[in-house]
Amino acid sequence: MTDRNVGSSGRRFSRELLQAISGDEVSCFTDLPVLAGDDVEDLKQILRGEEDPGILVDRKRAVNALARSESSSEAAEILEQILSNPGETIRVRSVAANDLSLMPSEAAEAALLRNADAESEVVRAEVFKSLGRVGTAKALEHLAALPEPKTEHARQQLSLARVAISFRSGAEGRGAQDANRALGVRWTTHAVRPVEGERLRKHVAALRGSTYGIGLNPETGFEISCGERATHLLFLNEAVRRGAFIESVRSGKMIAGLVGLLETAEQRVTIRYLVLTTPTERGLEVVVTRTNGDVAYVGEALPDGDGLRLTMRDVGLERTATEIEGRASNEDLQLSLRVWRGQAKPKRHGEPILV
Amino acid sequence: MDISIKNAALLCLGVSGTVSVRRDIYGYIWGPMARTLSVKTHLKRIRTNAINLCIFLVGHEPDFSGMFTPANAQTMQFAVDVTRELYAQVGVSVRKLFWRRIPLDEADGFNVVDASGATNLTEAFSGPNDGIDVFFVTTITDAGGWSSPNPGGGPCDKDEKGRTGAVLELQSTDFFTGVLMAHEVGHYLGLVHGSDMTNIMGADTNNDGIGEINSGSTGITASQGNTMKSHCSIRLPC
Repeated sequence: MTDRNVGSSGRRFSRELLQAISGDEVSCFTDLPVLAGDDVEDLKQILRGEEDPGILVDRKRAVNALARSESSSEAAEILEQILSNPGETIRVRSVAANDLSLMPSEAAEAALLRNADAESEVVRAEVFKSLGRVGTAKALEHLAALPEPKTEHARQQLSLARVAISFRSGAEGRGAQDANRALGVRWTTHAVRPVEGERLRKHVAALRGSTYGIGLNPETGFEISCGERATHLLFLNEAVRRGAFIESVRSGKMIAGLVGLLETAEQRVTIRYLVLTTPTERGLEVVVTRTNGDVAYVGEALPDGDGLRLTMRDVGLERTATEIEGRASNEDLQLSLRVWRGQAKPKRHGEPILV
Repeated sequence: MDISIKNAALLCLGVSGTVSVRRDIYGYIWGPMARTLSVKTHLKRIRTNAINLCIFLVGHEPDFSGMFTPANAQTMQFAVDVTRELYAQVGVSVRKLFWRRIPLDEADGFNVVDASGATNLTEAFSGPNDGIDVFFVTTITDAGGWSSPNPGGGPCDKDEKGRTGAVLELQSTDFFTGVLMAHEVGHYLGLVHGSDMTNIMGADTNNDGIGEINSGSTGITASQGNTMKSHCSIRLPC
C-alpha cells in the first residue's frame, strides 16, 4: 500500500477502486470495471465530491464503475446529479445518461425525463437513447411535449425512443416506417445457425449494456456470420418462445429481438440492432433499426401454409445490400441471409482540415 | 544517405515548394507544438517501415464550435508524437498525417459510441488515402478505445465489413492519450494483448480477464515490431 491509496480525509482506498477510476489507466478492450462492498460506498463519496482519493480521477470511468457495480435508487440519484450538472464535461454527462438505463427503471425513467430538455444536444440524444431502453408508456406524453431537438441525431434518438417505448409497452405511438427499396442481383447466401443451450447462455452472459427492457429467450437464438470478420447474434425476446413463435409475435407489436455484435477476440457482445414487429392484416411487419435510430432493414412476414414466410431487405444504410429470408411455424424458425456481392455503397470521407 | 529536408519532403511526403517543418515534415497543423525529436532524426525514421495515419475529428467544426477545443486538437497531435516515439523503439515510424473532420451535422451521433457504434462509424466513414484511420470521438461509453478485433490486425481495404480503423477518446493526460493511440493502432497492425504492464499492449493485472494499460505501458518488443512491419499498412521505403 502506498500513499497514493490515502485520500484527502486520511481514508485508505483499495487498489481495485483506484484502478477502476484512475485517469492514468484503461482496460482494453472493454473498460467497465465492477467493484464490490466498501469500494462502492467509497466510490459514491468520490463521485459526490465528498472524498478526494488523491489520484487523477477519470470521472467517466468512475461513473461506469458505479453503474456496473450497483443498480439502486441511490446510484441513480448520483448519476442524475452528474447528468444534470453543466459543470461536468459532455463526455461524463453522456455516460451518466447512458448508464441510467442500467438503473432501476422507475428511478431511471424519472431522472431521464427530468433531463430530457438538457441544454446540450449531445447529452439530450443520450437521454433519449436511454429512455428508449427503459421508458414506459407514461413517458410518451412527456416526450411528445418536448421542444423539437436541434440536431438530426437527437431527433432520430427521440423518434427511436418513442418507437421502442411504444413497441415494448404496446402503447400507441409512432409506428414502424416502411422504406422498401428494390435491390439488385448477385447474392451470396449465408446460413443463419440456430444456437441453443450452453452456447446461447454464454452469448447472453457476454452481453454488455442494456437489453432495451426485454428479457431474452434462454432457449433459442441465432448466429449470423458474414464472412470471417463479423459475427452477429440474434437474441429473441423471451416472449417469443418455441411452441408459440407465431402466436407471440402476432399478439401485438413488440421488440421481438435484439441483434448483437460479437467481439470474437474477447467474446463480448454489444447490441447493434433492434427487431421491431407489428401485426398487420396481411401478416407481420418487421423493422430492424440501429441503436442510433437509423432504420437498417424492413420487411414483412406473410402467411405460408401453417406458418409465415419472412422477407426483409436493407434500406441502403448498410454498405452491402442484404436480404433476410425465413420461415416460421409455432415450433420452428429458420433464417438465411443473402448478401449482394455487387458494388457496395460508397463510404463517406469527411472533409480535409485546412488550418 | 543524407538527403535535404526539401528532397525528403518531396520523396517521402509529396510536398514541394516552401516547406513548413511543423506542418509539412511532422504533419502538425495546430501550433505551437513542443517537440524534442530533431528534423534529421525524424526524416531518417520515416524513410523505412512507416505507416501513415488518417486522423478524423468526429463532430469537428473549423471554428472549434463543434465537439473539440484547440487544446483537444493539440492533445491529438501530442498523442501522435508519443506514438512516434514508442514505435521508434522497434524501427516503425509514422510518416504522414492526414487530418480530416466529420462535420457536426454529418456526425450522425457518432460523437458518443460503444463497441457497436465504433464499428458503425468505421463502416460509414473512411479516409480517402492509405493512412490507417484513427477516429477521435467525444465519448466511448464502454472503453477508452476500440480497434480491429482480429488477431491478424485490421484490413487495408477500407471497404471491408467490420471495424476498418481505430476509434479513440481523449484521455486525462496528453501522454496517456498517446499511449492509448499506440495501443489501438498497435492492434490494427496485428498486436494482441500481452502480459507485461510496461508494454504498450498491457497486461491483465487484476485477473478479470481483461487487459489494462497505463501511462507506464510504453515498452515494445522486437517480436512485436516484426509483427507490425509485416502488416499491409507498412509503406514502401522512400
